[in-house]
Amino acid sequence: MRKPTSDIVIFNTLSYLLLGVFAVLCVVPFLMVLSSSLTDEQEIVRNGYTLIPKSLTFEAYKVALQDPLVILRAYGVTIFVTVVGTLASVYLMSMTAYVIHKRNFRPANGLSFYFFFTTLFNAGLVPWYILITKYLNMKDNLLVLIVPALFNVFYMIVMKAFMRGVPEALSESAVIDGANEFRVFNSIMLPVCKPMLATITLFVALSYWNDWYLSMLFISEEKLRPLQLLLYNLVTNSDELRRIMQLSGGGASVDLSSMPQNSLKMAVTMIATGPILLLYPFIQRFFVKGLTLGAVKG
Amino acid sequence: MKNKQSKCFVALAVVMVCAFLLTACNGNKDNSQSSESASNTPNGTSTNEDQAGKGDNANLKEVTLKMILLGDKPADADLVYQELSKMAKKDINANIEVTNFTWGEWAQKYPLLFSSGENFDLIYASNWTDYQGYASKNGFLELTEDLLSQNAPITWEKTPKDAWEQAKVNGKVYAVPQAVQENGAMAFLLRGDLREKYQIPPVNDMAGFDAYLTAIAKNDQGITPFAYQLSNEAYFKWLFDPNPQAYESGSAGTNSPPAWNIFSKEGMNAINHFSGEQYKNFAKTMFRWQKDGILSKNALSQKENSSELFQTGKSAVALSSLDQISNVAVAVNKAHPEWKSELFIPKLNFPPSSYMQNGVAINARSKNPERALMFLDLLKWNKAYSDLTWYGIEGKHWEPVGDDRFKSLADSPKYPPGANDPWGWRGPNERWSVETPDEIVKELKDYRMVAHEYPYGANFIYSDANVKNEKAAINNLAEQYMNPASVGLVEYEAAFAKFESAAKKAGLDKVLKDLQAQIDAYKANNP
Repeated sequence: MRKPTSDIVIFNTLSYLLLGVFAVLCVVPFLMVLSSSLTDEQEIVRNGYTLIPKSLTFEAYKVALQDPLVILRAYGVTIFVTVVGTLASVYLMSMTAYVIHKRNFRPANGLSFYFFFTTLFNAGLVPWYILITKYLNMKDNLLVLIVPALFNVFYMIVMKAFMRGVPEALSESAVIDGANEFRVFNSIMLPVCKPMLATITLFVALSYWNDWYLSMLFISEEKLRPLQLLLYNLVTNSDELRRIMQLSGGGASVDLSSMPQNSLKMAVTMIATGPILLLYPFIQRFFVKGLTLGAVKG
Repeated sequence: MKNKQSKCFVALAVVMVCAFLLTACNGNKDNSQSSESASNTPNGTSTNEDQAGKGDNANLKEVTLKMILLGDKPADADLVYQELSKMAKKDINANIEVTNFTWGEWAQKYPLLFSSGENFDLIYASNWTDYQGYASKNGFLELTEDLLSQNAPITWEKTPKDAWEQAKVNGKVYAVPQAVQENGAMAFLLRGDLREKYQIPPVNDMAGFDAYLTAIAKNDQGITPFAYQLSNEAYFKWLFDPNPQAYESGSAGTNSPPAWNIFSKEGMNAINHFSGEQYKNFAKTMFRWQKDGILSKNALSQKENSSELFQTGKSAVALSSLDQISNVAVAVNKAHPEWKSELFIPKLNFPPSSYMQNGVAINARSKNPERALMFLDLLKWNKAYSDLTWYGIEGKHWEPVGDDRFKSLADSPKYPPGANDPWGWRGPNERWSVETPDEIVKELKDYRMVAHEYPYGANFIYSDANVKNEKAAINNLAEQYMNPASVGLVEYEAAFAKFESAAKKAGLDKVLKDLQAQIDAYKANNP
């Protein structure tokens, strides 16, 4: 094996250094959260957040998990919504993209304009809220967490562009073998598009997992609250309450010492982010494949 | 030709989307109905439609009242609501359903209630929930004299005239304000052990307070004597006004220059807050305190308020409203009895807080406003109802101690006392914890016994509509130049000179002139 020349060594050190810095920048905040969740509450007020906890305590986790049913149920809701929502969403979007990507399908342009139009103009929050609560009656229903986010036009356009890159001869040959469009889509197009689908699946899954806005607006039944809403409420309530007590000049008065504290917020953040982190390594191999796909085939 | 076709397809797509949404809707209509009937008593759902046909023999037809409260729902709230519904069923034949908007979501959900025409009957309303705004847009039902006197006779009789006046928007009443005045006075909580250790006499006035702080700063290194939080707690500067009976207290916002005095007609004039005697005295004292090490070095960026730091032992003074300081005192006495916490209530003519800081309004679309008012009358004046909603179930969450005190029981954290937004029907039935120092309870309770007069300018509401840009610019300058002076990091004269020249250019005179015009108009209307 040849000895690496000096320029390669320099390049390697530099790039490792740069990557290393970025990696640290990404990891530090997370470590901060982890360490604060393990720190004593009084310690945080006294010394602020630190990277290495001075005193180790699991008090915050104990409090967060004292009613495990609440968290488990929220987990259930989030997982259900994420899995069902992502599958339905990706399948629907790719079907649409497949139809639009066909060059011999004449209304494709009009149709894609129709989709595109909705990204530019929408009616705003209130009509949307009224539509969903009054006409679709989806309030306090799990569907409301899935349906409004089902279709993302941008992802659909990305899919269309990717499908345009797939040689037409592929689907043509399948048609000659007697496959109908649906068969072509399911057995030819989807497998070929796997890397792209993996990427978009990850994005969609992430947005379903992280969404709290829909649930905040439309879910008031506690049993249906997803994890993120639970977390959001926990994180905001003591700040908001403090603000209100200030505003109301004592009219609204609550004993603040019973409010969830800093370390508890961090503990719940840890509980809520954990599982989605596991999704990355699982899907990563598709990413790499996607990057190399074009190059290998030349 | 092609155009026509594509239009055709657009239409088709619309139809398809609609069809899809409709099926989704169908599917879950059943769903929501079944869940609703499951959660309900067998008596049916929200409206009185079902009951209309029954021909009830009692005078009152059975109805369901929906009430919306703010704040996170305590763990045992459902038990309390069930009990409440049972009681209301017996007394006024109404089922009660309560919805909680958590603190995280209320700001978004509150306005949507009105714009989407949601179905509810009672809702918490207050100055800080923009009661005036919703009332002037007719979101709330106008409460006429007839309506009130027939359905909520006790409320109508016992709520003071001043309170109804304050609840008026464009001359009409849209909400039932709270029935008592509250003491908004400020109070300090001090460390008795330190005071004794450094041999300082008990603190009764500002001079004593100063001595207490100085002694601690001199002798104790590990503690910041008075770590006050700049944006929320700077109001103690009122104590530095040369006239504690009629101090300059009207302000266009924390740390905003336009200010006025509310205590008399003659004294009410537009002034620049930072040039007044009060601020001058305050800033000079702060400079000395900062030099002596009484104030926190990073006071400009400090996020925690003084009571939080006090509780962790980092600071020797907690400053808050009297009401809130009682909570701090209870917590501290439990955790650190060796601190021997002491109360210092400075002598200051504190105007009573507004009646409309808490109230209950009725939805303009409510189908049963009469019944809602009856229910409110019960909540407010019937001790069983107010005890239940304030403190939870007797024997489970609390037990009564005498007529005006309560003792928390083991389950109390599942329905913390007074935390589930019962403030809207605050009245004379309120209790205090047995752990609250008697001194504070006496102060708070005595205050409510008599009606206090409002100072001349209490109802003046400043609007910056005409000078929005100028005021925003000046507020920024105040933050830049005067904040450091407010925590004693720079000297008053130097800071003020810089601020004044910059603010003049930014339109300070215009803002003050605009304020004076508003005050003149107020004076013309209020002889």
